[in-house]
Order: sequence, then structure tokens, then C-alpha cells
Amino acid sequence: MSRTFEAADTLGADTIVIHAGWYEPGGRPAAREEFHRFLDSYPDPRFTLENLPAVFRGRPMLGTTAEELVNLTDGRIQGFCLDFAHLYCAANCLRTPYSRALEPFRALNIRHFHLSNTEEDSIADHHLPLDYPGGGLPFPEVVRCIQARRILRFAGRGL
Amino acid sequence: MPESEPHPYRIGATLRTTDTELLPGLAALHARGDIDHIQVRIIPGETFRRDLATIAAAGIPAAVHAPHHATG
Repeated sequence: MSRTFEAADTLGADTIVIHAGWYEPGGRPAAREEFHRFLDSYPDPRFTLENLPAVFRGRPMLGTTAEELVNLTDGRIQGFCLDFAHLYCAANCLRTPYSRALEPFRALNIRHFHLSNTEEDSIADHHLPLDYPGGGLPFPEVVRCIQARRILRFAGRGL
Repeated sequence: MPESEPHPYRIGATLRTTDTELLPGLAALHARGDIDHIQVRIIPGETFRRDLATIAAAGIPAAVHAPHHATG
């Protein structure tokens, strides 16, 4: 993290996007505790927690749903990053309609969007161009979500 | 022709710290007003400080993305 803070200080960044990460199957409670220890060790108001796909190379990830993000931060982080493609992959993995997965994010303090595409029905995020042939991101719902926000920023194809 | 309304949002583009060759293009986009900022994803490594200095010299407002599961 020292390099991350160095970069944020050097660039004058007011936002540091972080992931909660992945865990080995069965290791969810320990991973959650480790994330809390991390936040206790590095309290920084610039932290912005991003939602993740449900799995990465076969391993489950922390922070997939809006509810889980809130639960993970436990009040230690005030802002969130909504990655639309990550949510699409998570919704496919959890067999949840995208609109249903997206709805709870409307209640969060979203400070940052990530926008990219990924293959239709994919559970793996590949950060593809928005006009990628065969891309599955439901743009009408994405645009409605953006329009409903007084959003601060978003970063194209942002990981 | 009336001037366009300011966007209620800020558009960015992402680069890794090792992608310094992209900076001239991103700086041009920023100068034209096509992007408002860059998101800089940290790639730890021997060139980090040199890369960071190059990015800072471009003078584009930035957000930072910590290293993640794909890069350690």
C-alpha cells in the first residue's frame, strides 16, 4: 500500500479505489476479518471500495453485492465505486437479473463508476471495449443508473 | 451555436503506472476536454517511481487505483 499512498500523494488524488480481494473456499470469515484489520491499519478518507465479480479464477471474491460492500466497510469507508461489468459478471454467476443486482447500489454513496464491457453471460470480467461485438452489458440499465446519480466521475475500462 | 452544457459527471480513462507511453494521447484528450481525469492503477515494480514521476509531469488530474488481485 505504500506505493499506492505515494502515488495518491504525488498526484494529488482525492480517490483511492480498492478491492476487498478474494479468498480460498471456506475462508470467508477470515478474509473479512483480514479486510477489517487492513482498514484499521490504513484508515484513509480517500478509500473508495469497489464491487467485484463473484469469482476470480475459481476463487470466491469479497464485496460482490451492495449489501456485502456496506457490511464489509462497517462504516470505515464512506464512498463506493460501482463497476458495471463486475456487477454483470456477479449477476450472471449468482443467476440474478441485472436490474435486481443493480437496484441496491442506488442507496450507496457512489463516488466513482467503472465502465467497460464483457462477453454476454460471462462470469469473468475482461475489461472489453464498450462496443465489443458480443458484449453483454445491458447499457439501457447502466445509463439509467448513471442518469439517476449526481455522479462525480467514472473511468472507462477501469479495472 | 450555443455552448454545450457542462457535464454533470467527470469522464476518465484508466492507465497502469507502466503505461506511460499512453500519456501523450491521454494528455491530448484532456486538453481537448474529452476526458477530465485519468485513473492510475498502481503496478508495483522497479520502474514505479520513474513511471509515477512521468505521470505526474503530465499534469492530468488523477484518481488512484490500488494494486489488485491480478497484480499483487
